Amino acid sequence: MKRVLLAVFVVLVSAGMVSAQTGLKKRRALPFEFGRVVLNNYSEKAGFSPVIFDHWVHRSKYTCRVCHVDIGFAMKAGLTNINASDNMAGYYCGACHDGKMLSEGQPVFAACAKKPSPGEKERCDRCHSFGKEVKKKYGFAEFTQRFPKERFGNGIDWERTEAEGYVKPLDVIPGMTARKKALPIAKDFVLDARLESMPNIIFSHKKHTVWNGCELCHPEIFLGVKKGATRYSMEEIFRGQYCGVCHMNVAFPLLDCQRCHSRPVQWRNEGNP
Amino acid sequence: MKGALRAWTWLALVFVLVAPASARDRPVSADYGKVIIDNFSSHQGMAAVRFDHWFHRSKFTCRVCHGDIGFSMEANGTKITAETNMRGFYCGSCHNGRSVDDGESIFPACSTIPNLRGGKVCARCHSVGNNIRENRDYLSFTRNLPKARGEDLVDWEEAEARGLVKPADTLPGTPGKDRALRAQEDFSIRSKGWMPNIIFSHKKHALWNSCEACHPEIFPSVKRGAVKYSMFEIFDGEYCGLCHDRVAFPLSECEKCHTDNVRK
Repeated sequence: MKRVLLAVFVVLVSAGMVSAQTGLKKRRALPFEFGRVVLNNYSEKAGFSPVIFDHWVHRSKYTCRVCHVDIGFAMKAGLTNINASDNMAGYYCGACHDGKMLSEGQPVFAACAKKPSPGEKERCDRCHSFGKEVKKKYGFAEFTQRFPKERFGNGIDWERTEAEGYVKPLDVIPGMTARKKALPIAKDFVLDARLESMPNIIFSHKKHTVWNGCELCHPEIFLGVKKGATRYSMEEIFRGQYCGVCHMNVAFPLLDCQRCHSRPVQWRNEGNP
Repeated sequence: MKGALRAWTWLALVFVLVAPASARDRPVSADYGKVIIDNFSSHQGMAAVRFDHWFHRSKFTCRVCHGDIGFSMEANGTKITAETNMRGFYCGSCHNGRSVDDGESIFPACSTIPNLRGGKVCARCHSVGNNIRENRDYLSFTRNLPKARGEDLVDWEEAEARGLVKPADTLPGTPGKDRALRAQEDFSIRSKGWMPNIIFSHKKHALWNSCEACHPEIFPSVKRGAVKYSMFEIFDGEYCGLCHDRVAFPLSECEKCHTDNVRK
């Protein structure tokens, strides 16, 4: 009997310890770290440091669609399974990082080599930089100095940054990808918040398709195209699904409730019918 | 011999049982809300940092530091370095030698300039183990502030309600905080045993924290009942216990939360 009680006690205590994933406030990424992805499918096994990929440089040069649809990157660290041979064959990173494609008049450095010579180590370190002091080509502070600011995330209002011409992300890579004729864009519409006191969400397809086209979200992230067909709530979003696929780690984070919950609430006791 | 051994065993058992109970002594009120930060200080040959909450919370809401600036709520969790401070993050958001508070420029946190301000700047924060005379004394600062029941701890809610402290909710130059959300109605949370239910007030909490200090990191849900926790986790410094018992009013003030006198 005593042993049974002891076993039950141990199980309860360990259950309590295991469930301690929430309820804490850990460190948040600084503006220059937000959108950072660490990739280590094979790097360490091959004797390299894991790769650090920072979204902010790439997103100022290309739309999300180019990488996540045309080139086909997954939206979760480690899921794409990039390896050196794929890169060297011109897939994934190698689609642009091939030593030949031009960006702003300069050839983009090639990703990976079969047997990098000691002199080439510096090129490897440009990506395989986890734990190393690597001098980057673009410094976040200087690069984003004049961009319109917003709170949280990168601290940048990327929407306004593009609207005001500070960045001009390309939506097509000449000679490599193509876009078909654009489809007409649906009007903005309202999504009801479950809590009565929270403002409803105004969802804008127009804002999203500038960066994503249709194919980035449909059908993989949002299966239905009929409003209300896909059921989800903030629970799923906070877990990194649906809106949370982007708006946890790369697009403006979920901390900024008012960016989406923006439709003014009509309160009955404020003189409204 | 056998009798003596038995006596020692009983004595040891008593010590083992009593000692943990006395480990949760309440710190003196000037020490309440103190955080010792030592990710890198000792390593670099500097004294560890002592951060006292009481002064900063009289000047700023929790949201400014734990929302806008992004400090973790765990000692040593933020991993502040001299470099990030000098770049204007974390402490350096205000402690940059230029921002002004009460007509004075705020001393810079960390600097490569040798002997800055007579060499006294570093020691203002890196003070653990050194006999540093504080610029502001807790007792004189809080003398006229209302106190919580029977203790020297400040009742910050009352202090703000009376206008004795006016914490700022934004830092100049921080964008975007002009879209206030309206707080939800107070609601009741069932307590498991014989204690009165809790009445939780978003309004009181949102005044200092807005949404982002708690959601979604501490409470990853907005649906009541979705996140399961109990007083075990709270006493362990999670959920409500992240603030209450460390910086906000301590958990010994049961009646401040367990206020729902509905018959159970």
